[in-house]
Amino acid sequence: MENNFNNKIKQSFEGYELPYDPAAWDNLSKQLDVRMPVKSKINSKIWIAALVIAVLSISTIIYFTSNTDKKPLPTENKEDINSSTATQTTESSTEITGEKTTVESTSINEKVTLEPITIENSKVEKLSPQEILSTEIQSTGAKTTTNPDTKTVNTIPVIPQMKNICLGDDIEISNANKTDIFLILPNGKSTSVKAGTKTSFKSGISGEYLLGYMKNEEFIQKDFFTVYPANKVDFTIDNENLYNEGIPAIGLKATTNAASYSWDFEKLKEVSQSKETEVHYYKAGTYKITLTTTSENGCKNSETSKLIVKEDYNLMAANTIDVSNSNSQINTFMPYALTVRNVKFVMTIIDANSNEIVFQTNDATQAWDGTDKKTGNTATGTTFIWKVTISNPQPGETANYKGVITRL
Amino acid sequence: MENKEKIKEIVSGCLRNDRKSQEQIFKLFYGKMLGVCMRYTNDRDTAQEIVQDSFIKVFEKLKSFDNSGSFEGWIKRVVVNTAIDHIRKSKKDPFLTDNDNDFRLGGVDPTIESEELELKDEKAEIIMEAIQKLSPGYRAVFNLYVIDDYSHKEIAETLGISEGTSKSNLSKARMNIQKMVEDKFIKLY
Repeated sequence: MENNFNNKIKQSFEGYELPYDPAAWDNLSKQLDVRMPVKSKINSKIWIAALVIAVLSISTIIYFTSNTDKKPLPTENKEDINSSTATQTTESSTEITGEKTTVESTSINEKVTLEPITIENSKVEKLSPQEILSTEIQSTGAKTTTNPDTKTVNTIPVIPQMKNICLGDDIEISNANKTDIFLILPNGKSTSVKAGTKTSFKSGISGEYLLGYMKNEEFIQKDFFTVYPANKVDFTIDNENLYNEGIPAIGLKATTNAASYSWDFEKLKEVSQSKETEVHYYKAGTYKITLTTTSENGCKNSETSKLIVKEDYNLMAANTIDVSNSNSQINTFMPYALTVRNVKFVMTIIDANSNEIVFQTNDATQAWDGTDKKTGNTATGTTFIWKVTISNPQPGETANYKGVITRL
Repeated sequence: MENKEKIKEIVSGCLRNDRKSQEQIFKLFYGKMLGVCMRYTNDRDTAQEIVQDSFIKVFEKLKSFDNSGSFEGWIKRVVVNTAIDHIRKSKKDPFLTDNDNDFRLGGVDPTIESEELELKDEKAEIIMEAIQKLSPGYRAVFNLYVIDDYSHKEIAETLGISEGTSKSNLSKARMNIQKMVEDKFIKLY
């Protein structure tokens, strides 16, 4: 019936749609212009023209130089090569052929190899500026290769691959490019990683970090990575029930959800991986309890609380005996913990005045009833010492216990 | 439903940051996604704001869409997550509620057996109105579980609440929706 209800509700929303609002796109478009700016068509044409001119000018210079003078070109820088293209632009739509030539420019360490070339402008114009920049020029019969190390113009920097990390982890970005790369933080602030440098800082804000570069004063996003927020960690300490089956046991419970849990107890070797667990401390003191949780993203976070143990564990033993009382728990003596624990022990009762042993047992059902084992009569003293030695103590537990019994 | 090839082509345009392709995607899914947002909030301006934020995320994260599943489903997931984030930012701990006082309507008998209430020809608008009357905590759990196919475990993780609170909120939200829808239908017929 419940599923029927759910299905009917769900079905009623299948295909549910509200009318389109053109104003909504206008608003979004404006936001996209800021967040994801698009190059204008004029810019595209300028890029294409610049590219065509650059290719043509280089090949034209080489063509003429190689035909008139077989000597290598003199040292030129890139600007010189580009500027010399102005007079050649009218040939951009014509077929240019020439012999295969190699040009070496020592000042910029650039090697350009040209083969006979045919450029079809119509093909080039179909490409977007980004495609032109990211695609090797492929013209019929033409091949241009440039040493990547020396690309400083029209080069898309290689953005380092970043893994998603957790809040507080270090962000390390290496920029092996010749141009700066930029990082936009989730709070909108940005930082740059200078060409050929490495930057490292602590991730103080969770969210998406955008990586890219600047072109024409606009940020071009190429990648992003996520800094996951810290997972909440909290737990409760049960201060009501201090013993479990005669052993000191304090309950701990994680109150936040996580993929995995890890408890660390100060001064104890034992650990726990459960959401709920208990810890055993036998001595009074203040102990640090640390819960570390791991989220599904693999992020870890910890919470530490102090646990106060008010008194030493002493087998939950009473400190009096009243043989005249009818209650067997009062008119006999046996530490309560020994009656509920599965433990091997020897208990000895000693008269505090005479230092003589008046009773000894290794059976928890045989409590001392106040008699002296030698005489079979009620022991005459008023103060007795009990000692218990456990042969199989728990981890962290002492083997020897003792206390004083006053006879009422 | 989705013309996969057509969508693939438009997505490819969006990946090149082509505005026309982005506008096509927006036109295709705006109405449906606004409907989703309206279920998570109770005013249209906020819903529109969430839709705007969602589509910016869609375009920015589009490269993470691997074409293996439904594109509409992928967009819807982004929209739902954005709506949840929006609600979370607008109020401190809006989902940590398991308090009957949080209901916006009174006089609902929580002992009503769900078997007694057979929904008739539900209409999305009437149900939408009922959903919008719930508090943000109940509304989010109801939407996520009943309509958007989240499990209680996923809801607990998404909203930062326990699975028990999720189940409890769902149960109470469902009773209220049934009551409100039933009342409306009685008035209608």
